[in-house]
Amino acid sequence: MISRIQVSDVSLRFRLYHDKSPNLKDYITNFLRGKSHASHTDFWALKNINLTFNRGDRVGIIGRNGAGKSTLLKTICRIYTPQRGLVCVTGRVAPLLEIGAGFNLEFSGRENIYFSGGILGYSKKQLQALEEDIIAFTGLQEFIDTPVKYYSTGMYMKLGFAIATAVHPEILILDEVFAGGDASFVQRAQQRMIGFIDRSNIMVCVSHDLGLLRSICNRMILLDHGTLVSDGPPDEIIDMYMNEYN
Amino acid sequence: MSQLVMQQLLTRYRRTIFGYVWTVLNPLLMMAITAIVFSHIFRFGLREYAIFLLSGTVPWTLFSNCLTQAGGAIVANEGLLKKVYIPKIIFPVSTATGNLLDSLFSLVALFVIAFFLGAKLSVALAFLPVAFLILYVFALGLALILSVVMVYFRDMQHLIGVMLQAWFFVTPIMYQLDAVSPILRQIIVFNPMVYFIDLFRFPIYSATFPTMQTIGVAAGLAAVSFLVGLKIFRLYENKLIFRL
Repeated sequence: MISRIQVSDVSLRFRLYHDKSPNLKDYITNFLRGKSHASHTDFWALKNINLTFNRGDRVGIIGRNGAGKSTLLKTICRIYTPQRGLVCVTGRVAPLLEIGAGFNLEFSGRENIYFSGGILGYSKKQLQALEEDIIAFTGLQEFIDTPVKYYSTGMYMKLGFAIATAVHPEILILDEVFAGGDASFVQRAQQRMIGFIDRSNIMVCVSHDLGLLRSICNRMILLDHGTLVSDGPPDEIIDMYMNEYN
Repeated sequence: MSQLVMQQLLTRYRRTIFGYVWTVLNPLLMMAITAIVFSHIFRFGLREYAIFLLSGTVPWTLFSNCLTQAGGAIVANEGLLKKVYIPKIIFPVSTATGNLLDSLFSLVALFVIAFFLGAKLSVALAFLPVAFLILYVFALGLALILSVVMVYFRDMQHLIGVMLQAWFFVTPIMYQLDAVSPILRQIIVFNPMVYFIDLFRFPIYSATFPTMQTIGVAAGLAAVSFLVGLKIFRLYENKLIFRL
């Protein structure tokens, strides 16, 4: 199947509630006072975004904080459903939004390969085949049957990274994920990441590291306050971004 | 999706032997205390009362666990839901199914004890799987509604405990429906749980099949609860993420 991401006319609204955690008491008192039950302001995090990513695209998304970069990624990953417009994705998506998402701290590393792997959408058979590879890559053989809650931050990152990158995906979504850990692991992780990016059909990535983006991307998108400002070759867009905002 | 549900269930039983023992021991001890105290108050034979109590406690525990745990499943997994896309219905369904399994296990263990206390083995016991299924569907429907409500009103997490406690007392679990005053009885028959308790009480306590009327009402309530629950969940499933 041809991998493709199509974002058509997508707008996404966040409601900012003045009372952060609504509770029943306030709800009832407001209701009795005849106020509309929740006072809120609407905030459009994405405004009429139109994009198509095709096979071979290595897309970097840049913009200032709060421009909607991560929101766009989460919308592509189906975590957020936009109020308007459509997102259409064909191909297997590997979201690398956060390392170690879906770990159960009480379980051992080995159990988490199955648990977290299941959440990422791998089948049990696939995971059985990958188990040894994953463990070998982390270099955590001695600790693999220890509950994850006793892991150090570095060990946790290694395992999360190894599980998330165990299968070569068709579509790779990255949000500032560049692994921590000791020097040898960082090197191995970066190599794996580059191999990973090379073999994926589509890569979409958010980062503030412009040097990194320039080296791995062949297309760049600039967002500002939820709108698409420009879309084009990396050097051109980065220059534009630098001139505009510095 | 079925893969994920299975995984959630398996991991649930990967705990220690003693963990499993506690899921049986806990209700057992509670029931022993209640049986001793209330068999005196109600002037009931202790053995007979223990069996009577068991037949009401097992379905009630399943129901109340489903409401608190499966109803809170979305809120409990909010961290995960914000990071990875997973069909949200997996959480309430797998939690409720886990509760169902817990309940089946504890019934088997408790029935062995009840058998020594003099409970009769009868063909009517063959109805129990159906009884579990009907109650599970009913509780799941309510849990789906509750899992949505809990996202919008976090207070519900605390309120539900109080509400279930009140509901427990208007359900004939510790007492017989015949033992209450006629006026009170007229009110209590509007409590849907009466029918679900009867689905278990007839086979376990009276060694007879429940009446067709009881089965019909319970199955009807279960179907309504499930359909309404599913509809509400579908309506809100994509909006929940903005309130987690």
